[in-house]
Order: sequence, then C-alpha cells, then structure tokens
Amino acid sequence: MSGYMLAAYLVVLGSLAGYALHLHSRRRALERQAHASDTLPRTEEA
Amino acid sequence: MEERIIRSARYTGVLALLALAVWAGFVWAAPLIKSPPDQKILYVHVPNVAPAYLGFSLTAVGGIGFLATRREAWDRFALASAEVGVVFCSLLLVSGPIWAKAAWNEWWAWDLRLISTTVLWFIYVAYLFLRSFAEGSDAARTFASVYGVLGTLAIPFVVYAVDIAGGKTMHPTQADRTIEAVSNTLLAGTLAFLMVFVWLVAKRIGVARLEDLVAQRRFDEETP
Repeated sequence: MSGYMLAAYLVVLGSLAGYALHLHSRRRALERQAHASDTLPRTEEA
Repeated sequence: MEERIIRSARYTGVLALLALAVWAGFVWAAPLIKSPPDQKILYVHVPNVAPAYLGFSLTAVGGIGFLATRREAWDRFALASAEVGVVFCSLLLVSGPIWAKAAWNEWWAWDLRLISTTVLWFIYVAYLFLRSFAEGSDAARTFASVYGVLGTLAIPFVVYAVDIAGGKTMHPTQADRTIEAVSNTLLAGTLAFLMVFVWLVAKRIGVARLEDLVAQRRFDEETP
C-alpha cells in the first residue's frame, strides 16, 4: 500500500465521516437549545 | 427506542455500502487489473463526481421550488444540497491531485476539466457564504435561489470540458474506460457515494429545520 493511496482513502472517507459527525453533534446541540427554550419561562417585562 | 433502531440501521446501511465499494476495489477488481496500487486512488476520486453534480443540480431544483411556492422547505433543501455538493466537490479536488502526484509526479496541471471544476467549486462556496452572511431574510433567500439556479449553467461546461479541450487534457474520454472491472468498481463506488449523499442531505435538512426553529423561538422571545 503506497502513501498516496493511504492519504487519498483517509482524506475522502475520513472527511465524509467527519462531516457526518459534525452534522450529528450540531443536531444534538440545536435539540438541546430547542428543549431549553421549551422549559425556560418566557420573560414578560418587555 | 424505535427511532434509535431506525437511526442505527441507516448508519449500518451507509457503512456497509462504503465497505462494499472499498472491497470491490481492493479484493474483487484487484486481481483482474494489472496496475500499480496507486490506481486504486481512482475508486475514491471518480465516485465524488456524481454526488457533486447532483448536489448542485438539486440546489437549482430547490431554488425553483422556493421561487414558485415561497415555502421554506424548498429553501432548506437547496441549502442542504449545495453544502453536501460542496463537500463532495472538495473531496474531488483534493483526491485528484493526490492521484496526479502518484501517477504523473505533479500535483496540479492547468487542465480544462480541473480549472472548470475549481470554478464550479468557487461558485457554490460563494453561495454558502452568501447564505451565511444574509441569514433569514426573504430577499436573501430569493437572491440565493436565483444564484443557485444560474450556478448550474456551469455544470455542462465542466461535464464536456474534456471534449471542448479536444484531447489536450489529463482526464480520460468515455472511450478510454474499456476495462470492465474498473468500470464496475467505479459504478459500485458511485452508487455507494450517492447513497451517502442522500443520507447527508437528509441529515443536513434536519439540522436546517432545527436552526430555523431555534431562530424563530429566539425571535419570538426577543420581540415584545
């Protein structure tokens, strides 16, 4: 196995996995934010 | 629980398809082709083409859908397709030079296909920048939709760049792809990458929907 081939496979498959993980964690963070705004009392001062 | 099982099944399906494509290149096709090991770089380079073109074409479909109906779902579809298309186009532009260095001992050549693909990449990176700077407003969505539709005009130029170059290119023509095992392995890889594309676009639409929901709630909380 050559270094170039290893680099190409690592870059392509690793980037796809990395992007999928990024979307997964972003979704989790947004779900937490959406739940937080569900449970927090709304301010009525304004 | 049920949702978790469905999600796990999706992950397993996508990973199995990718594993199948890698297996086809390394185990099935390898003994049929007398070639150096670096030739296998093509199996992760060429399959990026179809998802990149599909992503950019679907951006136009989403843009037309939004302009016709003004429904935000179409706009989210366009955004997700563009972003995932840019991911695959980036991988195409990164894996290509690795293959070029291994095969011809040079990273880059001023080849018409390479230049036009790079221009296409810039067009859709600009689209994503435009989306991130002018977030939320209806005018920005309308402008992005028109831009996304016009951007697809560059795709036929990239597709036919090899023909336009009249043979003065490093990229093969259709007639050069004669080895059946190579064609079948590239086809398996393309199908696997297309499935990954569909999966990623679906995930990105889900994220975009949540982004809009959170932004709407924040707006509701801040508005008297």
